[in-house]
Amino acid sequence: MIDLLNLTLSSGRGENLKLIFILAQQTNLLMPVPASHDYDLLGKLLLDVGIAMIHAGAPIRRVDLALVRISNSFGCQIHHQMTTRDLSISLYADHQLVFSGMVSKPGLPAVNFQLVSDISDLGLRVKEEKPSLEQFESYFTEISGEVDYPRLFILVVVSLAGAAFCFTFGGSLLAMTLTFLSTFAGLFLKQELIKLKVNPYITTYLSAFLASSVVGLFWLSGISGSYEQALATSVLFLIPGVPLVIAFVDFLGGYILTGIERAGNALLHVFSISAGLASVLYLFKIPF
Amino acid sequence: MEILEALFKGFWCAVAAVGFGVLFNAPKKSLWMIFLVGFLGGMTKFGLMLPAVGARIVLATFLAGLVIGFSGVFLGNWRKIIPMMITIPSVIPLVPGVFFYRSILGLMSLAQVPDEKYTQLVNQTIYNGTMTVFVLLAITLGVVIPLILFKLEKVKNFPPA
Repeated sequence: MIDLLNLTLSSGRGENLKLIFILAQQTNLLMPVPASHDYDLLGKLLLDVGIAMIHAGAPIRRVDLALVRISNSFGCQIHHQMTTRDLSISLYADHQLVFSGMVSKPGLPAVNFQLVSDISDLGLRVKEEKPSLEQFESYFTEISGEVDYPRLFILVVVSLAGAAFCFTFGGSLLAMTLTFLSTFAGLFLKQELIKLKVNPYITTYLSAFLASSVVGLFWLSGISGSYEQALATSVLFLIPGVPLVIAFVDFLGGYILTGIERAGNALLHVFSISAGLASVLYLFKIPF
Repeated sequence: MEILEALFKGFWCAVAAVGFGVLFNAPKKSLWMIFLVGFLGGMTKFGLMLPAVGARIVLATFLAGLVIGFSGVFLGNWRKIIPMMITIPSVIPLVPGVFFYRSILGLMSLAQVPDEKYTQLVNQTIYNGTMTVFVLLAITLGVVIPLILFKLEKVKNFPPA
């Protein structure tokens, strides 16, 4: 059939036949696909692996590395296209398209280094052990990506980080205590809003608002002291450090589009923090 | 005494770095590295800004970012941890919080009918905003340059047979 079509095309017959040829190619009529459900499973697992890594805040190069390692271990070549919300892949084995699919995950990336680390390790393990597809699936399902630290521990350690921040900016003991309290309150609210699946920018705005209000309330109470450092550092736990740095990693790696997405995301978070802080400064009439 | 203060501030930077490591769910085995790298970064920044050395904040932050970047990549490769998991939390204590705060306050103050102090206000706001952007860029580039220089290992997507 291929020969016949090629012959027809080369002899200059009409556009219709060319169209049929292209359609037939796209629908795999001309390529006998190996009858196997394994490629479907592999493709779906790769989509899950990829989107989980992107959402956990991994640079595109790192995701690419994991996907290529895993697909090569199963004898496939992978082509992909990624944004921070979507991933589409095509798998080829012996010149033939064996899987093509796409996954979209609503919601914006939430940073989870443990997950990135676990999946990267999984890529290496698959490369070295060459497990069966079922084994690979069970390895992947073992990776929960759940937060390792108790919630109270996170709250206390991050609040302590806020107080430490305040010290490095020259804050007094009072300012440090205020930053501790405001970070604790702000982060607590952020965690609750994330559970309620509120829009991430509104979450950042409300958390920044609450955190700086705690300092603002103390300022209103009239207790003497310097509040500038406390106000400045009370919202820093919301700084989108990961998207900002990873945006540059993507830019310099040549992944401009995802870099722009991440930078835009980071910028919107910075804007939300500024808006939250500005609201408090305006409401409490804190002077320049 | 001033050196001691720089060391002390370095220590608090390290504490802040560990806090961010926990916030980003960094693996437990990486926390001590985040502490160490955060300490080195903080110490470099505040050490360079000592009057005896006299470096300005953007340069000091950039060099501190580089120290964090290189030491993070070194430690990460040594202990088989993805370097960015060490460097990103470590570098966050260097963000220009007070400049950022003053820029916002300045921008809000600019939204008024100009009076005789307005020019001074404009100057101060532009200064604070520019410093915020430059310090952020210094931090980001300082961390990213080592990550790019020491590229991830290359894996070839083998061509179909």
